[in-house]
Amino acid sequence: MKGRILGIDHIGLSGLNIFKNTPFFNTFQYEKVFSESNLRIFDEIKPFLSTEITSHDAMFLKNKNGISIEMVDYHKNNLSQGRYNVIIEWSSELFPEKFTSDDEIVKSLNGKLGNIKKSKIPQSNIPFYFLKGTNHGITSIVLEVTNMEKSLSLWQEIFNFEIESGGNQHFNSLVLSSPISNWNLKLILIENNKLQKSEAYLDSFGWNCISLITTDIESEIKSLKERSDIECGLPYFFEIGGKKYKLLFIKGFDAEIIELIQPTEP
Amino acid sequence: MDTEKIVLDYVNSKSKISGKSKNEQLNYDYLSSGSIDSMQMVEMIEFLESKFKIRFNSEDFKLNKFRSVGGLIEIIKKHLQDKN
Repeated sequence: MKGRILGIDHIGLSGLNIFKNTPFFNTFQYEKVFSESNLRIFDEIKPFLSTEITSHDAMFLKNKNGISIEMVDYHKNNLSQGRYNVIIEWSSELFPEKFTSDDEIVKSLNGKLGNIKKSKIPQSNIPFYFLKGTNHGITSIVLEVTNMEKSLSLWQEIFNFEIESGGNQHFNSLVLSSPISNWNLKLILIENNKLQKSEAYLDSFGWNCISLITTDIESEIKSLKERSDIECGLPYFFEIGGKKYKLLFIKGFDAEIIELIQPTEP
Repeated sequence: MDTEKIVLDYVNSKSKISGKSKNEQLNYDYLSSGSIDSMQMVEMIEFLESKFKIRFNSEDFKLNKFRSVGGLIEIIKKHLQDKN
């Protein structure tokens, strides 16, 4: 029986100091669930890193309704940018002087989602997109893709996302519905033919990995191995925050990294 | 098989709702308390699917009634009916 994706567990963010940069996320009512230092780098992670890294620090931040964040500090980062972008929704405009609107993603999203603006996480070059709205926290993730058709097949056929109406060849909104509100995910795919086909890693700056909760990693691996356009790592066990998980990293054809996470018995 | 008893016993073992009235137990929103984490959610789904030999689908997860014990029982009963 095929496993099931139950929702998004978190989005990974790298390139920030996990302690110094937390206040920015506290502004958006993200609270620390746990933090751990000097975590081991398992062999199974290494193909998804750009260089030899021996340990990392991690902090998990949760918001009641938005997508959770795992901030990971590898102490050195590859100069490439993580593939994902996030939309943070908030009811009032924060840091308005720091917004820019001259951006391809902003142009693609405006008129479809509302008045989107781009900004940067303070003391970093890591971008985020802001939408004034009634929900609070990270409500959507945006991924620029080189081939919409190929991307849709990955997210729909393998990960069971459902496509929302109103999309087209260059723009599609997909949803992953979950019974738990902050496990819901809206993933917006924007086709960008000018996108440089460069690599991205777990140690790339910014939003570099999304973590999806599955009931059965082994059956997901079987489905993934039928596809030649996906780089599928090896599963391994990892304990963090007092809980044990089975994990698997995957890289899609636009170098987007997806982590599958299966909670297991302690 | 007593579907209601199995589900109530399971939820009670996680959330301690046995002190509540039957009606309160059936209306109990086991997801809104924030106490259920990813591990417990996966455990619960696996337990119920294996116990009743059914498979929840993504439509089930979207239903508001998936959140309450009584609603969950209804969904399971519907799957059992469809199976027979």
